[in-house]
Amino acid sequence: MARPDRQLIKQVLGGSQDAFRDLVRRYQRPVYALILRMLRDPSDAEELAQEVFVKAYQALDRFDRSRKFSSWLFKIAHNASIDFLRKKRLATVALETRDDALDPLAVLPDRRTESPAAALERGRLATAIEVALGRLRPAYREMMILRFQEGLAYDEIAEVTGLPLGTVKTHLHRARKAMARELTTMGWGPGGSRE
Amino acid sequence: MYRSLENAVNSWLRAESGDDPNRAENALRRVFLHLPRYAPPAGLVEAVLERLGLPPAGLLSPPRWTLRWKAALGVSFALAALAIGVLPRFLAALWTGLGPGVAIDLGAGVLVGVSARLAEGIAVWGALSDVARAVSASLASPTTGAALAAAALISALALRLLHTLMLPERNVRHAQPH
Repeated sequence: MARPDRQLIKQVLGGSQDAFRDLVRRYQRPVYALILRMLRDPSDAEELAQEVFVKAYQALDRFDRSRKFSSWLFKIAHNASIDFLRKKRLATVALETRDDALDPLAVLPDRRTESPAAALERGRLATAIEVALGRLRPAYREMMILRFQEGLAYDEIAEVTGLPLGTVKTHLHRARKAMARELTTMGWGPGGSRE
Repeated sequence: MYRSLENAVNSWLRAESGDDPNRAENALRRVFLHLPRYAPPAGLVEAVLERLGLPPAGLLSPPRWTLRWKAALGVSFALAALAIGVLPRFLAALWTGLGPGVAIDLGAGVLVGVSARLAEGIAVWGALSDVARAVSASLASPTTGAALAAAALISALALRLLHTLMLPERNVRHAQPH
């Protein structure tokens, strides 16, 4: 049976490296997926995900154990991603979001159970959703992922991003609307006229 | 699979245009369920441990209970080594102290005890083989054989179904660097 986070943290603080390995193994997917969708570059995302876990390890003795570990970890990932994007923006004239940066076709679940045409169409739709998500402002994109991919509550998102609850709700509302607009513009949705 | 993604997207977009935030949230959650789950690259855990200067899995220091067992084993080896030096003198003293008659009595007692235990063991073994004989006789009947074959077939089908259900999970691959 999986040990709860609190127990693992206690063991890490007691010197158990196995417990830390279990924590990294447990959270590597959500942390990496969040950073990947923020940065939209797999090699940068890998580097930054490693950094997040290193920072978490080094700051674990300052973690308030009455709080949720995942929210604390997402907060570290949030700060690291924002810093990275800020530095990158300073280093380049304009931060371009490439529409083809992520390839959902490469990671979509098994396609053997559906016809090739349906699989292709599903891939196109998943790509369109990724593109629409990628065109959102990073702050909006992050909230969308935390809310709809990771299932965080509004107050948890507020804790992760450091924004007031009202702002989180407003941002999420705008993000949803903006993403829906993008998809509709691309011709998806009921009665869509995509090519 | 395409239909379910398309349906989720359509119901989300309909909810958005109808200004129904609760329905839109629920529908969008379903859309995200159909999106790819980008898996972290293999070796991320090891890379983190390496950056922290912690030894990888195989080189970790053994847990405390292993160390305690090793210490106990070492102490018992040391005691055995010491005992080898003292043992011949101790046995000689024991032999002189007890005398041959007492030693023979003791040996005979041990032999009787062991034989009694052996006899009990053989009786248990006999009972077990009776049970095994009865079971094998009933298994050899055509009805039981058919039931066993049916059970094997059902198990094979269940495994096949499980395999089919697990395929989509197994096929989630790592995000490719562009």
